[in-house]
Amino acid sequence: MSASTTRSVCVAIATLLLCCEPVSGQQATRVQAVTQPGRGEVDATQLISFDRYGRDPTGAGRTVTDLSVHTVLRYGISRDWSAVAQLPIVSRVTEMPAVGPGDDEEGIQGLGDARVDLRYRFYQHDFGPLNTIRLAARFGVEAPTGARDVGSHSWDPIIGASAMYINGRWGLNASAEYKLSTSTIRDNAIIGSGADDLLEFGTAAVYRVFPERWGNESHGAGYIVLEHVSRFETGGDREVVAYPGLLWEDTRWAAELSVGVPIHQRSVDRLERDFSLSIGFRVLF
Amino acid sequence: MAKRVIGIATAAMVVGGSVLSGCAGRSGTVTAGTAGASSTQGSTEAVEASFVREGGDVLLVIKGMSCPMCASNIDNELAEIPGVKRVAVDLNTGTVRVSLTKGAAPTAAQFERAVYDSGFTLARIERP
Repeated sequence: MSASTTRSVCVAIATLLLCCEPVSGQQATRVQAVTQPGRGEVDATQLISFDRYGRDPTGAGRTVTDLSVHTVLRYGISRDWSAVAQLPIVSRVTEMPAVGPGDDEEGIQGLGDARVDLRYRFYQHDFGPLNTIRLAARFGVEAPTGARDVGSHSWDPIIGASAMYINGRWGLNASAEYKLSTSTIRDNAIIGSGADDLLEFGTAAVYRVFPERWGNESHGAGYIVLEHVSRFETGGDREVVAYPGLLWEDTRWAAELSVGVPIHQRSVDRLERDFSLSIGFRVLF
Repeated sequence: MAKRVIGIATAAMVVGGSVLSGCAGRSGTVTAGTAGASSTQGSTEAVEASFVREGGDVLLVIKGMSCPMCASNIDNELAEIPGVKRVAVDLNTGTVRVSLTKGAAPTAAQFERAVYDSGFTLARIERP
């Protein structure tokens, strides 16, 4: 592991320890669920992701390793309205084959593009102790807070919608959003942060493995999670990634682990994803 | 300050409607509508009276509490009601048992508002 990567791990862990706050559970790692804090409540989620991009369609032999910590703060404005702020901290290491005596590795660390959403739950039908159907719309903007080569350096409006269906041990989520990019920068590294608009669509199935039924001795629940996220850029680049994972949710905390496996990728000059590994923590104080 | 218990209450702590039916004169039920709706006001008054008389516990039958951590929303909201001593959520039955301090007199409308603001649906209020 390089020195810059080691530093990034330290930054990630320190940030995690400092920022643990109450959160909500019963939601997949990436696909937006129609859950929100109660009125006047604040919760937070932290997700550490390790993404490796090693397939360079240009033949230049580049590889990119991203280590990021995403902090998500949510505030319940009312029963159906909430505000969400997301702030990523990114460490990106780009490696290229050495062609001379110079350095063949470049590291960037700093803030990614922050995002603020306003979300409105416009439909809710609760039809059992656990069972519910909920729909929500969201309107947001991605701010140009990102460091060099990490952010889009533009204000990008976002509109999206989410659906959630929970019935017994099963939870199903679907989410779609469209980001209108105002950036003029062509990001050659990662899909979704350049000059092209981005359509993102995701689905998630969350199945409670344990306990089969809530009972006297139940103190937590274990879930199997299977997510899929598709990203399509108007420029033609696209990727479809599956994220199988595990979620353990106790009464005061939750932990999640998922692995990203690319199913389909197409890019002209961007690196393609090798894999992702994500670890998330949710703590309730 | 109310003691808050998030998670799964023991089955013995939750008394269902069938048990209530055998306790004539000591139990009451309010069928809830939208929080603050006038349609519940009539039946609410009877239960309010019994709250003052007996203190003790109240059982909220709730829909849509999909997980323990989601249920923390309702826990926090109920804890803000004066006189609420303890809250225990039972996800299996979708019930929340609220223990009240002696002499506490929260109204059904307060419970209804708390559940509504938490983002869930209150089906009814029972006196165990």
